[in-house]
Amino acid sequence: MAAADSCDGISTSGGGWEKTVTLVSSDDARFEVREAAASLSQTVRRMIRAGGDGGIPLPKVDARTLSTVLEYCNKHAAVPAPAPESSSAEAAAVDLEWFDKELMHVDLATLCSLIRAADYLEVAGLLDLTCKTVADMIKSKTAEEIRQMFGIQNDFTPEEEEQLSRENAGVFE
Amino acid sequence: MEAHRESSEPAPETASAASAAAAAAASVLGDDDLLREILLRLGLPTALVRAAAVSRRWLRCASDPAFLRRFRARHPPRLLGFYVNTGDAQRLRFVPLARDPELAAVVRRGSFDLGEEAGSVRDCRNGRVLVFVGRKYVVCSPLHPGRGNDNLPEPPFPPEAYTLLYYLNDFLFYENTDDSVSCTSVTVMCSPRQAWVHLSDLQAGVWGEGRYSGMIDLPVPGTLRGCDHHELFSNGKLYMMCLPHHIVGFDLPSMSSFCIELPDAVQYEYLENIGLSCAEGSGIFLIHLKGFQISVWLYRTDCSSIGTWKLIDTICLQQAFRHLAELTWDLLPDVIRVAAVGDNADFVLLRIDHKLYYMHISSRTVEMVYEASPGHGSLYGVYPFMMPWPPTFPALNGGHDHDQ
Repeated sequence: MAAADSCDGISTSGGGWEKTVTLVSSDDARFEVREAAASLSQTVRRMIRAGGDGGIPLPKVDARTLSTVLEYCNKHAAVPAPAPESSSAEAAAVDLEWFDKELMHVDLATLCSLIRAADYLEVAGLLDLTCKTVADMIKSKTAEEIRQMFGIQNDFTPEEEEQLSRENAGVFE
Repeated sequence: MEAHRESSEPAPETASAASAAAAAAASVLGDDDLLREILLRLGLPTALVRAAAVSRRWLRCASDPAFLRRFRARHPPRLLGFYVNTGDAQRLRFVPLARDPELAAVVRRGSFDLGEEAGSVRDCRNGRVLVFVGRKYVVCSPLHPGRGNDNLPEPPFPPEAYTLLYYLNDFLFYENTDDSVSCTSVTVMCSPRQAWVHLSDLQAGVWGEGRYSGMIDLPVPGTLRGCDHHELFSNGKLYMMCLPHHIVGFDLPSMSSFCIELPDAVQYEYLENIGLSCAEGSGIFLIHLKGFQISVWLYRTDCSSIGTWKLIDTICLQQAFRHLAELTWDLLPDVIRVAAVGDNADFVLLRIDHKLYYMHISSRTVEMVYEASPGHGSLYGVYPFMMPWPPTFPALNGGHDHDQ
């Protein structure tokens, strides 16, 4: 986490001069990020365009969640547009896939915070990744197992439950 | 806010972690938009149906028509297997092809054997099979053995067909815009210069009154000719391969007719060198086999209904079949045939002598999927059986969502 006072600082990461912006979390932590990485968030991109001093406030995302989101953005913004069928593009894709998988090794509460953050910040790739992760947790489970996992109350009447299983018996059970 | 279940008495810190997890989960799953984003990524309709049984709100999100359209576009129905007519001496067979364990289980729970008397399949669409059994046509639902079979009554037949040199009668399924499936009896008739069709839809077990299409002037004089898989219903239109350089078509809602010229490089040779398949939204895919090459074409019409062909893909068969050593290539161009094409030209089933090969178009993967015992006639008619769509969701009467 680095401190910066303006949203158009300059850093030397990656060997060249790159424009950076400062993002401010709900708990007032400041993150200096390359603009290319921060722009993976459509919300941040719009705020950069709107301009302003003193960093971009993100009142709906706490520091812990934001640092994970930025980890994702830094990694994904670093990847150049893939040249199809080249071996280095293939290696980069494998590396990115491995990175995404590692990033998703978190508990359910963290995962859900990341979904909310990705939704608010409009980071399409991260929203897809996190929702896919929850979907993978759900897809082999029964309705009762899903309810238990998320603490959801069963509000069907016994007749309705009967109807549900009857309509799809055999095919979709 | 979804209620937290307290069935046991966990240790204090586990309890707080669990309640934090439940609160975080509720903040995501309690949001209909985010819940739909998650359900959208479940992949298989079987998983979607299980999730829909979680609560009333989940059911409402999972069965929303706009959501179901997105789900289908993202996860097109998968191939469960195919029916094949194996010649006079042999029975109609079902060959399962589902690789995914969950889909394989769906196939296992079904009842695909249509009996000793089952002759030939006429059409197979969205979980239903129209089959000729013991001198009558029957609609079967192999995935719902309990539902039984519907015998079709004699369809209305246009009497003038008997006076013509050429007519063709067939039964086909077609999908309505709301994803429901209808069955129609199609009679195609032609005189030396014109063609027209007579259609009758099956409604609640009864054939509706027949309707005639407009006449179409044939681009070249001569009669239409057909072969297996020469007809296709796609997006409300009937397409027929029955002329060397043209597809004759009929628009069902308006009963108007049209004629589409094939691309210059494509010619229908009255063999199974061409296969047609539905394209999502509008238009058709055409798979053309010539020599060692497969070409995939897409036909679409623009808003002024001017249609264009676009070459989507070409595949060299020698390369795709390279790993299958048993084939002798000097013989192939004469014996290789298009047996069936999946929707959106996702896959093609190729027939070489008495063997069937499945080829996934985009990945070029090829495998042999069926071999008929030699001397038992040819494999005529191969009908892919897809996972049906959409699932049946019950409409719940009254009541309010408790988990809001």
